[in-house]
Amino acid sequence: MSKKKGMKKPEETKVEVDMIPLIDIIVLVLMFLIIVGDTAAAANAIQMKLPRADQAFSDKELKEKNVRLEGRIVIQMANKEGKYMAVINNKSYELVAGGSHKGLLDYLDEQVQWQLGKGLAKKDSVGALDIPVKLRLPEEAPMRDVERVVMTCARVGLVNVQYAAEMHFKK
Amino acid sequence: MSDHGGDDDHGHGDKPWVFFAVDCFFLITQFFVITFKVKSDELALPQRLPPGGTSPGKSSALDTKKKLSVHVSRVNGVANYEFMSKSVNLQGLNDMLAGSVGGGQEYQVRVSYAADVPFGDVLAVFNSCAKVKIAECGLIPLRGNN
Repeated sequence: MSKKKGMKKPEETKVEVDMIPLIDIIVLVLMFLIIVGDTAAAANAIQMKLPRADQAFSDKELKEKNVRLEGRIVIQMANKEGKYMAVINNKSYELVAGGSHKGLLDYLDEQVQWQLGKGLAKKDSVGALDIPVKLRLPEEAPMRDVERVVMTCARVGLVNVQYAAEMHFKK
Repeated sequence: MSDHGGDDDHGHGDKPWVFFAVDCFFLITQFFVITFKVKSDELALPQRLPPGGTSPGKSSALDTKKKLSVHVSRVNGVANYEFMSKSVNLQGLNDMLAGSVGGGQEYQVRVSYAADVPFGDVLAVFNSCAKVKIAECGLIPLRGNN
């Protein structure tokens, strides 16, 4: 055995890329993005059991029927501590008899005025607006609360309502 | 004889952590596959509130359509519909509407209900109206709804 003092043969390093861990990481990152993306999109939708209606249509079908969807306001009902409240853009409003909750009326009125001001909405001779409203109301919600939501819409002139429904096999 | 526990050139005998990485990958994949739920497209039933909103007094001067009234209640936990002085179930209501309504555009339906009737029962009326092309359905609010 001879060792050459002071001289070290440089090692030839072979670079090998292990594909399997790389695939692991890429797939995990992709799955994360898919799950988070879907969750973010659904963040505004309150989980509820919607009623069934076989005459209901998807947004695509509504567009084909020339039903306006632009500028649609979505009003949901949520049961919070045994009391139903109206929720718009994650903000809750109490439901008051006669649909007269000031905060909710003011908010809807503000939305209506904004759309009218921008020329995105029209009012007809009886004060009815062409702005669509999607009402996501749970199937089990009692009518004493549901009518407050509907009356609030009617007070502001929002008469084009779309009741959210669950998919139902059409006959 | 050399013991080939694994083929070092094509396997990862010298990198045992790869097997654990692959195991973890499959466990995580199984978790997402099991918990994956296809998001179904939400539907909407378009309706138009009568002019003047839900107040009958306000709207009567504003429209000339023929008005039909339906009262919704619950009898023994089952939805009951009173239409044209008859108490029927949902199928009965569908049949009566189909039989009595010629052109849906000429009609307007006003729905009254008991306070604790679930919304699903009332939406069924709107759905029945949509079947016979009645586009305007309003609610008759409860008196003193507090």
